[in-house]
Amino acid sequence: MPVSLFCPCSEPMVSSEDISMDYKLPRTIGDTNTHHALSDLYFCNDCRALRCRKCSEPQIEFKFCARCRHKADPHEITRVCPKNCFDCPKCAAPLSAKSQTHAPAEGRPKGKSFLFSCGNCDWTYDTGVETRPRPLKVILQDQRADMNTELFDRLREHYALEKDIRSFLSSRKVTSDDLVGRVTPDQLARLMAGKRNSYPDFEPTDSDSYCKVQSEFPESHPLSTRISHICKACRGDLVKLDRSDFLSTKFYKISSASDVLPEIEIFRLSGKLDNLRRNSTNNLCVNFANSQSFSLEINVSTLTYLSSDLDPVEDSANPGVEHGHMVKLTLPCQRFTLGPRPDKFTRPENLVQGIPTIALDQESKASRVELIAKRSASLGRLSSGKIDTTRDCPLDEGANWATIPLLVEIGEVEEGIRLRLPLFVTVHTTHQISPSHPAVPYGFWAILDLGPIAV
Amino acid sequence: MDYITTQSNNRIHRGSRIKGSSNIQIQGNTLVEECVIDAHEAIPDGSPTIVIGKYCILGRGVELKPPVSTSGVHPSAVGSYVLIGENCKIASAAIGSRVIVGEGCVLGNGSIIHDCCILDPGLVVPGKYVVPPFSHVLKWGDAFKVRHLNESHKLRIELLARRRVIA
Repeated sequence: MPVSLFCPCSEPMVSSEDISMDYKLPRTIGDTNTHHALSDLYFCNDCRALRCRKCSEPQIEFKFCARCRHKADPHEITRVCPKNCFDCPKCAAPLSAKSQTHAPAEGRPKGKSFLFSCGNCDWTYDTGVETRPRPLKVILQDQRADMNTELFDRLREHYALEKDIRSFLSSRKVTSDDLVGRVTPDQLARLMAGKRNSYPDFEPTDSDSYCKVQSEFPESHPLSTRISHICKACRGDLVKLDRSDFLSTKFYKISSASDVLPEIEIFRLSGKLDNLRRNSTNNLCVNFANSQSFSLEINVSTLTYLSSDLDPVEDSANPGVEHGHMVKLTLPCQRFTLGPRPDKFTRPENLVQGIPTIALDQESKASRVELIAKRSASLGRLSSGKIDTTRDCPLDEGANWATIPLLVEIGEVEEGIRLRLPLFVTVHTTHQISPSHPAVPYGFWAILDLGPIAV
Repeated sequence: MDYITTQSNNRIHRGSRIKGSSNIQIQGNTLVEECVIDAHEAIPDGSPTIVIGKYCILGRGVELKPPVSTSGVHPSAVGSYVLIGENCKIASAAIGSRVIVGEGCVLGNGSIIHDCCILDPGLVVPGKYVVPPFSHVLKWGDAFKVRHLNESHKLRIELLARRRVIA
C-alpha cells in the first residue's frame, strides 16, 4: 500500500501543560495499526476530521441470510441462519439435504433420516434415524453436543485419574483399590513399585480431536449484515443505508474520506518506484487529485530530516535502534491549488483528463491522444528525470490534479529498513457545504510507503 | 488492429473464441480480451444466455459459460463495471455490478456474486455459493473468508472500470 493516511484516534490524551514542542510527529504515527487506506476511512463533516474503523461506531441495520434471504432481527444475538441453510465443513459449499422415511422393522423404530451431500467435494453426512419430528438444526446441534460432551467427559476422567495417581504416590490417601479398573495392570504394578512419572497418557482416539468434531457436522450458514456507521465523537451519521432493501447498494447518506480528501499517489520520475538504494538521490513525484466539485488550496509540509526520535523509519531487524539523520527530504513546491472535478467526470474525455500525465502510457488510443495534447513544457519536466529545487510550482497540473516533486536523499542506512515518509497536508476551501458546516480548513498526515531499501 | 470494435463501442479481441454469439448480449464499452465465451446452448424462452453490462473487462484466458443443472442451461448475467482478471473460470448464475474478480479465480456452477464485491486472486467459490453485497472475499489457505467492504468502493470500482476500459 504505497500511500496510507494516519488516524490520530490512538494518540494519548494530554493536558495543555504536558504539550511539548519536542514532538515533531504524532507519537503513534510509527504504529502501522494507525495507517489506513483512503478507501477504508470516513470523514466527519461536523468534526472536520478523519474517522477510521476504531473511531466510528457500526450499527447493524440488516441481518440476513444471503442464501435464503431470510431477514433476522438485527438486535438478536444470532449469527447463523435459523432455517435449513447448511455449509460443507470442508469446502463451505451449500449442502443439499434429502430425507428418507424408514418403516418400522424388527429392532428399528419408525422414523426419518436425513442425508446431507456436498455437490462440490463429495462430503456426506447421515443423521441416522430420527423418531421425533424436530428441525434439522436442532438435530445437528444435539448430535454435535453429544460428541463434544463425550470428549469433555473423557478429558475430565483423565485429569481426575492423574490427580488420584499423584495423591497415591505422595500421600497414599488414594489406595490401589481405587485405581483398579482405571489403569492397566502394568501401570498399576509400576505404581505399586513406587515408580514416579507413571501417569497414563491420555490416548485420544480418532474421534476425539476437536477439529475433527468440527469437521464432522454440517455448518449452519452464517448471517450477513449491512451496517451503518456513526462518528463516535459527535454521534453524527457517516454512512446511512437506504432501508428499502437489504440488498440495495444505495445510501441515504455517505461521507467517505475518498469523496472529500484529495487522493495522493506517488511515482518515480524515471524508473520503478521500488529498488530505492542507500547513498542515493531519488526524484519522486506526488500527485494530488481533487474529488470534490469545488477547488481546494493545498499546503504540504514534511520534515527536512528523518531521525530516530520520530521513528517514522522502521528497521525490521533492530527495532528501536538509533539511526541518526539518514534521510533528507526536499519539497520545493509546498503550496498549490487543485481545481474542481468536472461536472460530468465520468465522460470519457473528462476521465482521461483526470489521469495525471505521469500515469498515462502509450497502450490506448485515448491516452496517446491525451499525451499529444499535453503541453511540451510539462512533458519535458517529467521526462528529464531530475527535479529543479528552485521551482516552487507543480511539475504538472490538470483540471483537478497537480503533480509536485519530492527529492529523497538516502544516506548510510542498514539494509532492509522500510522507508516511510510522512507528509502533512492542509486543505483550505472557501466553499461552504451547508450553513451548519462552515468552511473550516482541516489537515491530515499521509504516509508514503516506499518499501525496503536495498544495498 | 487486434480488436474488433462494434457499434456500441465494445472491443473484442480477434483471438477470442465466442460460441453462440447470437445468445450473447453486451451492453457497450466493454473490452473482451483473448478469452472463451461459450453460449452455444440457447435458453428455451428466447432470452440471451449470457448478458454482460457496460464498461466491463474480461481478461485474457477467461472462460465464461452459463450455469448448468439437471434441467438444462440457465442464463448468466454479468453486471456493469465488472473487472474479471486473467485465467478465471466462470460459471456463475449472476455477477452484480462493480465487482472485481482477481486473477485465476474459479466461480462455481450457479454461484451468485452481488454488487460491489472484490474477490482476491486464486479464489475458488463453490457452486451455488452466494456472496452478499459489499464483500471482500479473501483467500484463507484452501478456503476463503468474507469480510465487509467499505462503501466507498462503490464509486471507486466504477471509476476504475471506466478508466481501464478507456485509457
